[in-house]
Formats: sequence, structure tokens, C-alpha cells
Amino acid sequence: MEIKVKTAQVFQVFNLKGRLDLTSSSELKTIVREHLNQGKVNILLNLAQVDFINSSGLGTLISTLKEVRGANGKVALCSLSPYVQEIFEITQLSHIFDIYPGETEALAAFGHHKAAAAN
Amino acid sequence: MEKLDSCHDPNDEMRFQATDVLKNSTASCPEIIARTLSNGSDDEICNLLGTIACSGNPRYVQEVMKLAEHQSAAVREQAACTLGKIGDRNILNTLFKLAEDRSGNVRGAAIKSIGWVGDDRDVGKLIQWLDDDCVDVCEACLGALVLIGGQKVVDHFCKDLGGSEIKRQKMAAAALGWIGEREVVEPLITALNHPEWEVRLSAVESLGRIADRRALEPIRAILNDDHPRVRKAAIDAMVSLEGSSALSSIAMFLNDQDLGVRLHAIDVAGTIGDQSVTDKILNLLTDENDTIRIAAAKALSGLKDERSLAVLRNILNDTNPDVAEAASKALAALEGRV
Repeated sequence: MEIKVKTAQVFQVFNLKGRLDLTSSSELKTIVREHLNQGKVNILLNLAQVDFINSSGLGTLISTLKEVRGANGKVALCSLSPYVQEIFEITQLSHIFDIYPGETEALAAFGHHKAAAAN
Repeated sequence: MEKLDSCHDPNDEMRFQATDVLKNSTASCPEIIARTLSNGSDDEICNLLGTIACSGNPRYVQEVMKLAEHQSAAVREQAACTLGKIGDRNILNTLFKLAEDRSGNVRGAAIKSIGWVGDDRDVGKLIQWLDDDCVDVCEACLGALVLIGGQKVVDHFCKDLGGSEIKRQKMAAAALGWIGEREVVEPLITALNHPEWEVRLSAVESLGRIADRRALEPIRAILNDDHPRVRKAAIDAMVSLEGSSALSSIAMFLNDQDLGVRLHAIDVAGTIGDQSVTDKILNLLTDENDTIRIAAAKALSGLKDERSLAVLRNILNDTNPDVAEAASKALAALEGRV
């Protein structure tokens, strides 16, 4: 799995590419933890280029969510392919994560959030 | 309270404010929350539970657990759901109790939550609930098992797949595809030879999802399956494994005896966009079936082969206006007008 990280507003946007399975899960966990340790606690996972995800990958997303929440941060997902969307529906994970159609929508929603929190 | 009830507001700002109140709640807030959870109306409790769930704040777990005894099924359902979102393994006993509730909705919500917070220690119980009379409960159970995954779950579904009950075999083939670990590939390949077409369908769909190269030849063999739905799924699986290279295997379906398979093959050919099939698609523009001519015109716009232009112009006056319109749109796309 290829993971590219960029900063957008207060989010760290993780662009994931490839298969999110047992092999690649530890890579994602490590990189998320590194960011949390640096105080970068708001994470947007862009799954547009994830072409496969299985139980192990989903488990990693859940543990990421718990870890980020524990650090008082926020996790959002965006750009789920129809295949990934389907497995999120099967496992009901669409009820747990904040999911946006694209990066722009996710950042806009978070922008509202920060503005509201500041008022 | 008004702010706390805004969790499901369509306005992002309202929703975020509501969850922020809970995330950052201080001394006065828990009293209001505890009071509402114990004395509020069913609607007030459900709204507040929704907000607590959105906040992800585990602070109110104890209060929410008490609602497992609430007389309203709607409240118990929302409590089960909320516990899954804010809890950890300590809430599992409450969820197991709710998973035996008389209401199917409550059972389903509890089982979903077990999937979110549980692990392989909970697989045995979840497997029992796969036989629940309520379809939603079975689906929740399947989802929870897929989510937990691991060896026990794989072993269970492999056993079911090799069993004799068709319903179980179909479910197992689908579940193994979602679990998607390497060891499920061989049992799924074996299931491609199952006498029941629905099991073969589930197996080929799953193998397409997993896209493991070991399945390539078995999937190629099942392209000739007797059942059209299996053939369609095999086409998709081939594309999943081989990408545009699959086209040589798929081209024969452009003249399949089943209309649905033909249409699917035409659509896939157009989507792959490989001009090696242009001639075959052009021939379909004179097919006696209107639906095939429409699909062929659409596919040609994806192939982007200029040889199509003249032929498409010829069918602008097709007797069927839908065919003419499809040709017009394809021409517009090929000429860069859209």
C-alpha cells in the first residue's frame, strides 16, 4: 500500500492507494500513530484509490478511529469506491465513520466545525 | 438540551456543535444528560443517545447501559447502537443480553455493535445468531462476523461452504469474499464447481473481489457456465483480475445467447476502451435488437475509435428514436462536443 500525506487546513489527509489488508494494516497504524504523537490529531483518509479492503483492513480503520478519538481528534473518510462502500454497508461501518463523497466536502464540513467551535 | 439534540441536524454546523458540547462537556452537562436519560421521554432519550453516539465520548457508558432495561424497544435499540459506538469490551455482556431481546430491531442493533467492539472471543455466540428468524438480525450477524474476521470465522464459513445447506453455502461464499484473506481462495475455487448456480455466483463474485491470481484459470473456465448470472459475474471477475487484458476472454460474450450477458459484455468493452473490439461492436449497430444497438452506440463513445464516426452517422435516422439518440450522443462524445 502506498500512503501519501498532505496537510489541508487542520487535517492530515492520508491518500491511500492499493490494498488495505493484513499486510498493509500495520503500515497505516504506524503512520497514524506517528502523526498523533506529533499532535496532528485530525485525520482524513482518502480511500479513492483503495481497490481492496478486507476484515483486517476494516479492523485497522476501527482501531484508528478509537486511537484518534482517544487523542481528542477526529477521523473522517472520503471518496469511497462502490466496492468499499459496499463492504461498509455490509458491516454497518457507515454508521460509525463520518464519510464524505470527496475531499472538498470533508474539508468544508470540518471548516464549518472549526468555525462553529470558535464562536 | 436543544443543542444536544442537534446531532442529526442536516446542517453540519449544528451537528458539530452538538457533538462538541458532549466532547467537551463539563460539570453541569452530565447532570442534564443523566437526568434526561433516566426521566426523559422516549424521543428525548433517543435523540440524546444519537448525540452521545456521534460524540464518541465514553463518559456516559454506564448511563447508557442502564437503558438496556428500558420498556421502549426504540430506546433499547438506540442504546445498543450507542454502546457499540462509545464502548469497549466491558459493554459486551449488556450487548449479549440485548442480542436476545424480543424485538428483532434491538437484536440487530446489539449484534452490529458486538461486531464493532468484539473480537474472536465472541465468534461462537455470533454464529448461533446466524439462524435468527429475522433477516435483519442474520445480516447484522454476517456483517459482525465479517468485521471480526480471523481464523475462527474463516473456519466456520469454510465448513458451511463445504456443507449441504444451500442458504448457508451462499452466505459462506459471500462472507469469505468479504473476509478476503489468502486462505479463503482455495475453498472458493472449489465452490465454482458447486451444482447450485447461486453458490457458484457467490463464489465467483467473491473471487473477483479478492483478485488473487490463483483464481484466474478457474474463473476463465466458469465463463462458460450454464447460468447467465454466473457468466456475467465471471466477466466482472476476469476484469478485476486481468484489467484490460481480460477483453480477449470477454469478446465472445458480445454474441452470447442471453441478452443480459451480451449487454453487460458490450458495456464492459466500452468501459475498458480497447479498440481491438471496435469492429465487433460496430457490427452490433445493425443487430435486430434495439437494446443491443443502443448499448453498442454507447460503448463506441468509450472506445474513441474514429472509424465509428461514419457508422454512427448512418444510424442517426434509425427507426427507433432511442437508438438514434444514443448514436447522436456517442457522436457528440467522439467529436469532443460534450
